[in-house]
Amino acid sequence: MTSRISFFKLTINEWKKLGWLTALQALLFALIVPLRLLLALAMEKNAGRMPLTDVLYENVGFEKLLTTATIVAMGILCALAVFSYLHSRKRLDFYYSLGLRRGTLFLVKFTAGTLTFVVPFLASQALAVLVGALYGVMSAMVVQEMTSASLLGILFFLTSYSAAALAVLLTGKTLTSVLAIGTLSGYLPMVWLVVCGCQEMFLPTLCPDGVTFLGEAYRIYRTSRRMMLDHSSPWIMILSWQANGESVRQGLTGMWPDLGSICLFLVLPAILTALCLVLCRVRKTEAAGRALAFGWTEGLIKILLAVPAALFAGMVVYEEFHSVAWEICFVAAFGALACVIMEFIYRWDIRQALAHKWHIAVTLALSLAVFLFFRFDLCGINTYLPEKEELAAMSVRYTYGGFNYYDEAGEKIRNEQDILRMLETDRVDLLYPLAEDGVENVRKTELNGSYLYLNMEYRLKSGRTFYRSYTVRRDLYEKAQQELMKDKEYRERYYPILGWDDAQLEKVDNIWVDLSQEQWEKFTQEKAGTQTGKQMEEPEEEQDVDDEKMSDGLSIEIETSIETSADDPDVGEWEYSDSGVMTGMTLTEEASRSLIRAYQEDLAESSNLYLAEGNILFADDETVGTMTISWKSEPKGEWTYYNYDRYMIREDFTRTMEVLQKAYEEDGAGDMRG
Amino acid sequence: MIQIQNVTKRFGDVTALNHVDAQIDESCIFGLVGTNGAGKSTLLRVAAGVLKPEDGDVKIDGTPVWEEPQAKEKICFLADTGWFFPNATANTMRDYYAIVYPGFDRARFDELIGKFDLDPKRKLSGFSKGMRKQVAVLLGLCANTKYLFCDETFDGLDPVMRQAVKSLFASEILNREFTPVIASHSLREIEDICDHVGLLHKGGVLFAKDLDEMKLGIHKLQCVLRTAQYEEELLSELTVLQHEKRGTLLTVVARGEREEITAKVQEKEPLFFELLPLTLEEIFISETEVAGYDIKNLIF
Repeated sequence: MTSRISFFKLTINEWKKLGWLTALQALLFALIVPLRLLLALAMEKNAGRMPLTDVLYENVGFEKLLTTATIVAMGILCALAVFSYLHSRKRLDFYYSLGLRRGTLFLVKFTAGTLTFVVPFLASQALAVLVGALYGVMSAMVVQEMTSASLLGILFFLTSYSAAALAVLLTGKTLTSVLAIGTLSGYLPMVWLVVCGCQEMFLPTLCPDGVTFLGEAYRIYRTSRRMMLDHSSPWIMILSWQANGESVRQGLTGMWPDLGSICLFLVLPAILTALCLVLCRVRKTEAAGRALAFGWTEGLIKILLAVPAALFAGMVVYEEFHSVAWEICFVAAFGALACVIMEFIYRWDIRQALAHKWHIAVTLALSLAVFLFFRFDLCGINTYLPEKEELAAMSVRYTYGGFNYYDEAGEKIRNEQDILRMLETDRVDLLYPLAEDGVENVRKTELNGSYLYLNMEYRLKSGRTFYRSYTVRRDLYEKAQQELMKDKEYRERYYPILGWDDAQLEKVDNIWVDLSQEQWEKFTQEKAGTQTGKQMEEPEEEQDVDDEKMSDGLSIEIETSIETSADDPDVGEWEYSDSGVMTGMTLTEEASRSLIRAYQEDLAESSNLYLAEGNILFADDETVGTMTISWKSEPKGEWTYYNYDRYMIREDFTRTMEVLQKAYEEDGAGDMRG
Repeated sequence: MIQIQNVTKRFGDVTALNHVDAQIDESCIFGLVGTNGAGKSTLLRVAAGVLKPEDGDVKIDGTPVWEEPQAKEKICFLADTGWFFPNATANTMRDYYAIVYPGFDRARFDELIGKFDLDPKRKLSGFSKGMRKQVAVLLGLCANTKYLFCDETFDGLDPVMRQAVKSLFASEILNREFTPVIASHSLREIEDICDHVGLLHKGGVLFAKDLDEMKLGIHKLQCVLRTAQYEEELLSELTVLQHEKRGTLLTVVARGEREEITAKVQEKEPLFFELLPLTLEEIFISETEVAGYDIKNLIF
């Protein structure tokens, strides 16, 4: 039976009662939309620095983070204000005795709360249109985009509002509602940070570079990072979507959201509201005044929050003391403390703070179990090393190795594990000592000598593959690489440039060559330049030790471009920076091709191949410079990425040096410095 | 008719209502009395559809009240902690009631608010507790619902206002289908307003009877008998709810017909004998004592 109470009349009445909320939002949105636009247009009209349409575009439409952040905040505020009746027994006695279903009452309140936002927000947008029209910069297209942006703003509000309403329904007090919103927003990122922290700290072999980890976990990281962080709560979802701008493309005045995003923000509030309606039905009236509306969630939430807090404490102590006893004490103390604080929040009575001791017991048991699991690597992840006879293949790669690799389809290989798979070798005898040394070094807090961070892959004869990251003695790595490079097929796999053909060369945008001072002097001696000795000795202030080793105080950058047209008047000329210091040289397309081909030939014949790796760490006395090649990758959706590879130029790379010398002589005549 | 069937309501470990069965007939003024914590408010909140019982249900004219607008719109519930909107006046509350109670009689409300000398434009937060109670009762009356649940509503009303409200209730009963259910621990309030009484004790209904009938069934007598043996015999022959002896004066509250009790006392040839009028308070104390709620244990 339908109630005879008019939904419309009741909604309007409830909206009237929320007049203060409407007024507050009207003021806020008037300030950040039409008033801001008015001020910007007025100032720019006087200054005359940029077209007024650009000013309009910067202040209205999509991609306005301030507006979005305000919308999100208003969604939360509205939910806290509108659904506060759920926290008051008096008001529930009143409302729930009316001839309405709880769901209907919720929808009445929900609609009234929505009106408190929609009316002032749309009014502010309309005022912005008027302001634009007053300055003669408004067009039908702008209005169209503003309308779309307004609708998107409403969807953002509904998402934030319905999510906050859910938090209010799950709790029985305003304070715990606010805490619940905070928890819903930050819980997943917090857990993610704790898990990553534990892995990085206690399972270093899974965390190359201290940032991520290998194997399947790496895939999960890649694919779930956004899910975990950007999608960890509706509020973060909105803000990260807006801040990242990854789901928008250039529109008429700014950015347009894609259809997928619109659908997401259409569906999400619908799901959240439906969830609210379900909770409305099952939520007991007597939940008002309690911390949490559903008693059974108290212990669960307490434990779920206290365990990461305890682990975090353990990690901090581990960093500071490296003492197992202290770590265990802190994990236990913080776990118990977190439980006590939570219990106090639940009961708001210090005398009951120690109630539900079994929650503390479970928290301590779980926290210590997880902490000790990581702390002592109870699964043996760090120390696991299969027998040599079990291995079918291995591969190794310096963590900071910078080459780009491509699969057969020409797609850039982004996963470290895929690159390692590509570099696989059956010379297990060469790489196994590296793994042994890595395992031995896992628990060492101090390492003497020269070490490298290496990523390694193990492929067992059984077919199983796994990955580790180790700290390994440099001489072992160099020795192994020297041997591996003797294999031509491996060498070609290792140095992608060796496999380049003309088609690959077509993609190159620029080549930078950074030569040592010695080489530079050699160039200039053969050419009567105008440089002074003082200028030549001038050191670069910010070079690190290895840079100094290679460049020895003077860096020369030669820039070439294959894409540059032969008719370009700049071709063959030095470029000067504003300060007048020479910054580069543009080579002709032919010279650039010659440079790469010469390098390919030199590299193929070099005796110390592994030293041609572009990382500055491997520079030695025979290194005369580096060559950095960049090119655009194939566009991925709306984005184009640039790829960079750096290769070392060694003393015996005579062909390469000849090409550079020739280019210098042809194009470098005249003043080298301004 | 309101049927309360096997209703059980728990708040955590506390059982507020324990398999309560009761029936409230139409067109009577039903008083719900009971000790503190007996479950009066809980029963009214369950009956108003505010609380969902763990077991059993409440039916309003045959329709379960829980989440059923058809049943709930026959009820107006005035809670003990009455609530008005912030900054509300009697007029704004009237307007709201007019929306949520489609049968609300605005004209009558305006008329009554004038008669009670209440300023309809003054903020209710500035009213005294008693004045707010008056506004609540007037809103409830003018809602024109068939059932009006009043939880401790008469607390704070002065005797004049109580009489006025009593008259209004009587008038409503005469003019339309109207059944007020009044929960109170103040037995005097119930006594002069209600014609039916339900006694709640420790979450259960001890009895629900017509007040006059109840008064006829319980009597209080004072007598002085010649010997202690006579006294013992009399106490064993009567259905004694309560008895007390001060000096030679024996006071007995007993269940039974007036004539029957008188005859049994006369058989003992009393030196002094008198039947006294019994207040509802005494009936309440007697019945609750029988149920194990001994007031003397509280006092001494």
